[in-house]
Amino acid sequence: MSDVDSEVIRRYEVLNTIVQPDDVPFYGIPFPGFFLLNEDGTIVDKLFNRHLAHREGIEAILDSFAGRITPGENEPITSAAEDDGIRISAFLRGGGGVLRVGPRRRLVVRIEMPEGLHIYRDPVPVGMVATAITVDGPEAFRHEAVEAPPTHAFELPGVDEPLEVWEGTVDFVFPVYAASILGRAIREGAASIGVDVTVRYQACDDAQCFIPRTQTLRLDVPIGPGAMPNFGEMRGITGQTVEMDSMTHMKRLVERKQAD
Amino acid sequence: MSEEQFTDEYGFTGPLPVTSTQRVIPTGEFHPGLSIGERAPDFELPNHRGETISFHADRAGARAALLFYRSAVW
Repeated sequence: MSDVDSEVIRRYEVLNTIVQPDDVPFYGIPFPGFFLLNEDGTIVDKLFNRHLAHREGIEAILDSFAGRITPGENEPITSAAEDDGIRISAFLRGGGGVLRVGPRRRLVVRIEMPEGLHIYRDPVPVGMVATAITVDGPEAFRHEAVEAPPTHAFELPGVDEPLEVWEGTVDFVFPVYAASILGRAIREGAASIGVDVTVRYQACDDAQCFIPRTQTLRLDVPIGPGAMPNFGEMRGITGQTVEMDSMTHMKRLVERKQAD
Repeated sequence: MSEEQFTDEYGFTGPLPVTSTQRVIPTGEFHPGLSIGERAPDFELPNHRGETISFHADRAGARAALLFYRSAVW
């Protein structure tokens, strides 16, 4: 749908207020993002990005509706299990797992613990190890701060300080995106990049703790060119032809804004 | 101009200098949009075929994802 006068953009309070009215033709653009509505039209979730070029993939929307993240069929995944029974997986969610400039993806680190075991959130008393996850990739691979799942309080006999723990299956989610120099790797013929996920943790039950572990998983992430909107002529599945030449549309947009 | 003037802190290289207002990245608290729990306002807008879409009526009681982006073509 086309919101030429940005009326709906304003009513939903997503107008980019940094762009000033005299900045033709950019004034009137929204911050990119989405709202999710339930059946009666109430907003049940929303996600907006600071960066003008970042877009959420359809998977982020579907995952928000579902309330859980499920790896797609072709999305890269790697996992390992330790003798403490804890299994750690890392997968790149969205866009078939292909990293491109523009669409944001989610790097999900899933820790599955057997019943009775838990791991700790920082801070912990001296001598115990809090869970820490680091993600390292080439310069073109960028990530934002981790979105950690909720913890619950745990009392350990003999320890005065309150402890926060995770148990069961928990997902740590890193929003990720590609810098423009990803294009250089593509031009040089690279088909993927390596991303290392390192998880440091100590698993305990009510009576004892296992020795601290450090597990490093490598994800081989396919890369692809960014989406270019200059399609020229595009024929839809219903047979109609849509003219998608961006320069023509940009020219119209400028003329329309200048005429206001 | 040097390439650095077109590449922002996210490593994104665009056609305009990073000082252009449409490329300025908000800092600090960032919570645009109506709040979760609010009723989504109704509206009518043309779609790509020029047909008028009446949002709540046309979604006919179905759940919906409402996406905002600056343009399909730039």
